[in-house]
Amino acid sequence: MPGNGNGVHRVAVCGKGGSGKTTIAGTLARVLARRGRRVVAIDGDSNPNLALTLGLPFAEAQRIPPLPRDLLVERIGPSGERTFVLREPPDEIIRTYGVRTPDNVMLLLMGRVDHAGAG
Amino acid sequence: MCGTHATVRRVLGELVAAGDDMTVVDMEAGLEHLSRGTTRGADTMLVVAEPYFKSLETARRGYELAKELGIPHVFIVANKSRGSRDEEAIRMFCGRNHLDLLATVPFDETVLEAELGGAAVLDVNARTTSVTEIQRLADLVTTL
Repeated sequence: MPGNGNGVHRVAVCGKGGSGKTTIAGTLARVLARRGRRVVAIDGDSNPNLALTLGLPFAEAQRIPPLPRDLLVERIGPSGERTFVLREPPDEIIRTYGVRTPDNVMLLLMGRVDHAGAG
Repeated sequence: MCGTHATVRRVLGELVAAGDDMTVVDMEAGLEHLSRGTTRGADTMLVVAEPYFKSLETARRGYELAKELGIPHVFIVANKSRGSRDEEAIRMFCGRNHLDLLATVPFDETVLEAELGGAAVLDVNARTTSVTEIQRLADLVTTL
């Protein structure tokens, strides 16, 4: 399994607007979840279509809060290098901001997020 | 590097909770995010292309950018294919440009029907042709 040491497979789906990438991303996420995988879906496109594809009704999809703008905090390393780290542990972020969709895919919305000192 | 892009990258790289095994990210439309390295944290990149030249050409650029970023698995996923002529054109294009084609999702009226009603294609008909091919795509992605 590809990975980052956690055994998690991170799949990104990209394409032009209208190519159907959201339908493919969302349906893929649900198919995997129906097979018993624990899946997190991230909407990086800030439109409600991924939520709909994951099976949420429109009204509910519109109420999902995006991740907060200050999710990242800046740290200065020992030799002065700037890095950005998540403000809270991933489990906490998913618990707080993730929305459980009908096939148990946890949905996170990027929306317009930012971090302090971003330029 | 600002805002959304930096955050998407960090989130892709780090927002992995204990007990998850897949993260699927629906990227921002277009390729701008690729040139900024936003998706560097991905293990697999699926570049969705429609069977016409401009779309395939855009996909080719996305594919090559993703490769340059060092994403380990990069594939084209063709979508809205209307039959053997489209399939052949996609295969030819991918062959000529050395692009790895993972799946070809057929054009499917059920998808349009779902979109019109603000619903998900999977909820309209879980056995429709496009869903069947996405299931096959899921098989392939899980064996990577």
